Amino acid sequence: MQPGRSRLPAVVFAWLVVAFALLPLGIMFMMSFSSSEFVRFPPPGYSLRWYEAYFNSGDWVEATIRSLVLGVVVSALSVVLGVPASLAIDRMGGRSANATLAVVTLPIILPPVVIAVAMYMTFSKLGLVGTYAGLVVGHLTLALPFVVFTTLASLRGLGPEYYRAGLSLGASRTRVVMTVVLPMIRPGILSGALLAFLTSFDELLISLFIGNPTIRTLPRRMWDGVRSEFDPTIAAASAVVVASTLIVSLAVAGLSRLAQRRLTSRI
Amino acid sequence: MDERKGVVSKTRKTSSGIGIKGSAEILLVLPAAIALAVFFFLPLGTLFLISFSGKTPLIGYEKLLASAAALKVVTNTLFASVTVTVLCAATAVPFCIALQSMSRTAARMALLLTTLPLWISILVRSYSWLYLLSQEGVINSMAGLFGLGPYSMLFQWSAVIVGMVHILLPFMILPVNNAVSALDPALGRAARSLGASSSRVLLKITLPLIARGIATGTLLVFVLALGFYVTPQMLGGPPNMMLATYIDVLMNRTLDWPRAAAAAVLLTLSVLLCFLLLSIVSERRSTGVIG
Repeated sequence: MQPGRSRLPAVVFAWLVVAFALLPLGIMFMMSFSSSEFVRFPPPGYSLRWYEAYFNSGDWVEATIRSLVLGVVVSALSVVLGVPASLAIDRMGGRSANATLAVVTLPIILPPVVIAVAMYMTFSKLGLVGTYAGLVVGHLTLALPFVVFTTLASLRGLGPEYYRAGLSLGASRTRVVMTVVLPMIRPGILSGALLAFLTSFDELLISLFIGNPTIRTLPRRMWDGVRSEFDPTIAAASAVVVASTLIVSLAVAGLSRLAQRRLTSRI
Repeated sequence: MDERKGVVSKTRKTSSGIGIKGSAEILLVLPAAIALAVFFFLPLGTLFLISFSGKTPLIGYEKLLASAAALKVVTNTLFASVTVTVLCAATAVPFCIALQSMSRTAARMALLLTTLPLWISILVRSYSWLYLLSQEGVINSMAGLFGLGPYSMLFQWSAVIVGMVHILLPFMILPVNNAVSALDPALGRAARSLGASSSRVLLKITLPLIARGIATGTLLVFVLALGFYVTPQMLGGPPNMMLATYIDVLMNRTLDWPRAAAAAVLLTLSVLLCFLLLSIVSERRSTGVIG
């Protein structure tokens, strides 16, 4: 690469793209502190009134708590179902493992609206529409693949040696899995659990189709708010969501780095 | 001695006892498989069956294909998806090439910051554009400083496209950047030392070698754009309706389940077709055409 003059436009362009990616979120964050109830830039003054409105509204708080609880339940179920499944997929041969993975991937590649419509048509016959259980199992199918992916990635990084070593020392299969394999892939499982949580926490379409106005999740509350009238409370709620999302995603990034370090240091 | 015998027999069992191994695996997969079968594949199959229900088996599809509204929605969806994909590629390719001329830390930082929004919900990211594009939003108040505007930018294609590009750009940047960082910088240097101009290096060396990365990103962005629901509704108006919203309307307002299911099946098939292409593209890369 030639240094100097010719490099400048490229660097400027790169940072413009970064600005494009971050600017809208930055502006929204700033506007969530506006004292005005209209979109006015720059804000006429700054205040915490929209955060107060958010935390004082039973409606918003209830939706937030519902989404948090739902995310934790979905995440826990995804781990309970996904980790054993990953252990088995890891032991399968190449072709059947790939086929199984393709099947597991389907819920995250299909458009959310297709899945939501399909679930509505079936869940209405199973009596799951408008129920909390319907939301849980709906979100579960979207969250499960993430746990399988991260767990499987850790297992493949681990390789079969530990497993074989454990067996050759006389431990049973179950014992090797419980005392050697699972503790070593814990960061992978945890980041899968966090991704599962985020998937459920951000999910809108299943909540729209399977939920009802009395069981509104946070995304659904925001969606209803956007559609009715302009309400800066949504900006405050979004800022809270973004901040907590970034904390969770940093945790995921940290965990996957930890997982890698753990594996490389032991091998 | 006894213990050792036990060990030998145990290890033998795991290496040769395929039957036992198989049944244990099935037990481990079973709960997840049942959950997916009942709550995902059963609904998907039912959707397929419902798309062929009605007075005649094909009436849902016939009605769909005969309606001018559906045609408009399909045109809209293709238009938006193609435009968004092209804009994403046109941004991501120069961006990833530019990263190469930056210091390692700066490049890593820029990459992290552009892909960070991936973690944030589409709802929030679409919503944030309201502050930039609305009547008294950021862009109009900036333009006002120069005596321009106000422009109406919301509830039309430009807003929908900008919002979608903003959301989908990381899906183009990641595969393109993988391809660009796998390039051997010596190739460009060699070509230049042989007298090739920068544009010739770009056209003859860089672009052909990262073509698969661009193809992967293109298919990924296109396929995700096809199913967009939130952004077109939040930033667009009724004339900008896309397929996902149309399915919702057929389902909840027209109450025509066979037609809604038919539209959903067609959308699913297009998505699956794109993913088939995607797997072909990425498989070819692994067999190593470069060189």
